[in-house]
Amino acid sequence: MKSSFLIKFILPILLVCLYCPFSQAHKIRIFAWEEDGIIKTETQFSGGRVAKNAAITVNNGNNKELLSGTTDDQGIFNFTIPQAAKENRFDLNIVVNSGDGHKSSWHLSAADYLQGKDLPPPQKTTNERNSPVCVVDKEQLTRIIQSTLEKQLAPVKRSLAKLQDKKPSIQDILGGLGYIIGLAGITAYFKSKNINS
Amino acid sequence: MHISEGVLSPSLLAAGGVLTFVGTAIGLKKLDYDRVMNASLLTATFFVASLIHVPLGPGSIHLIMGGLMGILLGWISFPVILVALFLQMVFFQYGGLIVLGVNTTIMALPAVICFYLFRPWFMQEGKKRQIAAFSCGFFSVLLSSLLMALALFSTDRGFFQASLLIIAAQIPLMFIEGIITMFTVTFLAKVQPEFLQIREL
Repeated sequence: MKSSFLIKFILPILLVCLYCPFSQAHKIRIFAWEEDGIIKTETQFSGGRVAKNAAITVNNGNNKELLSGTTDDQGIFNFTIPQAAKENRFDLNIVVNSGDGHKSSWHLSAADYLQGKDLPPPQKTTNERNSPVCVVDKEQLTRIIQSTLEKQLAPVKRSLAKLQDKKPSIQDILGGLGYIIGLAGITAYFKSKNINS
Repeated sequence: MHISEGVLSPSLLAAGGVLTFVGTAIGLKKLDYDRVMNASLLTATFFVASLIHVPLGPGSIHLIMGGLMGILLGWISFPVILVALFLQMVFFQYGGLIVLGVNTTIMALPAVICFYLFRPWFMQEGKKRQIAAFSCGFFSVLLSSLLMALALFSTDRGFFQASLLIIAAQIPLMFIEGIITMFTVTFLAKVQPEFLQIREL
């Protein structure tokens, strides 16, 4: 009798719950890295779900807003490095706010996104046009190496950024439980003193 | 149910801090020697429960166990949730130190309210106890999400849509918490009735 009541009443509720399109998360996280003059940001909730339509604001070091936008369906928001930031070598503080109480930020220092960007623009040398043998000077070589390296390193930068976010490990969990046991012991000790006295 | 640092207004943070302080003081006063173990067991439950994600639809949910805590501990829920949230903050970076007061209030205040609303029914045998346990689980989540929505809404009117979404998002959890609280209480009443502390209080 009791079990049939459970099946009739609770099972439908659970099934409805399974189709509920909402969910909750503990925190939001954002990673940002520079690639070919564009700063790419990726936003996710803990647990790996992408954060769609989350508001993103880019501030300079003094919390002055440089630009803002929202993430797309993949939780991605890209922007070209603002001219003001390039000129003043601002450290960028990229803040994401999903609107449901979750907020997070990513700090991108000027040294990180302006690496090698302060070289003078390329000049056409006479060698390049006239001589059949291509002579590359030191500056050009640096530029070539830099652009190749950037391309190669982009995925590495991305996964490094992702690695900054740690999932709770078993050590963390056991550590927390240890603290709780310790606190219980301390409380019990003091409360037992009250009983004895 | 963890609000991040830097979202809420300072006055709200202060109010949450004061409420948590008062609640924790009352809770610690009520925490006698016999209930230290119950309280710490429930602290551990709360601390770990939020790590176990149950996939549900496109996202996932986790249990809070506020109702169970409320009906068993009453005001002691405040120190218990404060400790658990503090440890979650230190170990898992959930929430933050400044919003600890608000986060504690959001989860502990509904637990205390449930205690006063449903404890009389809980003391009785049979169906009434089951209904009280279910209601505790259900209403603790409902009240928590209402408080959280209110906190976000009072900080920024633009959060209205998000606030409604938060309450909607918790609806499945309300039923799940209710059912799990009901089964837990029924099980405890059979196996370990001392844990429910029905005679005292």
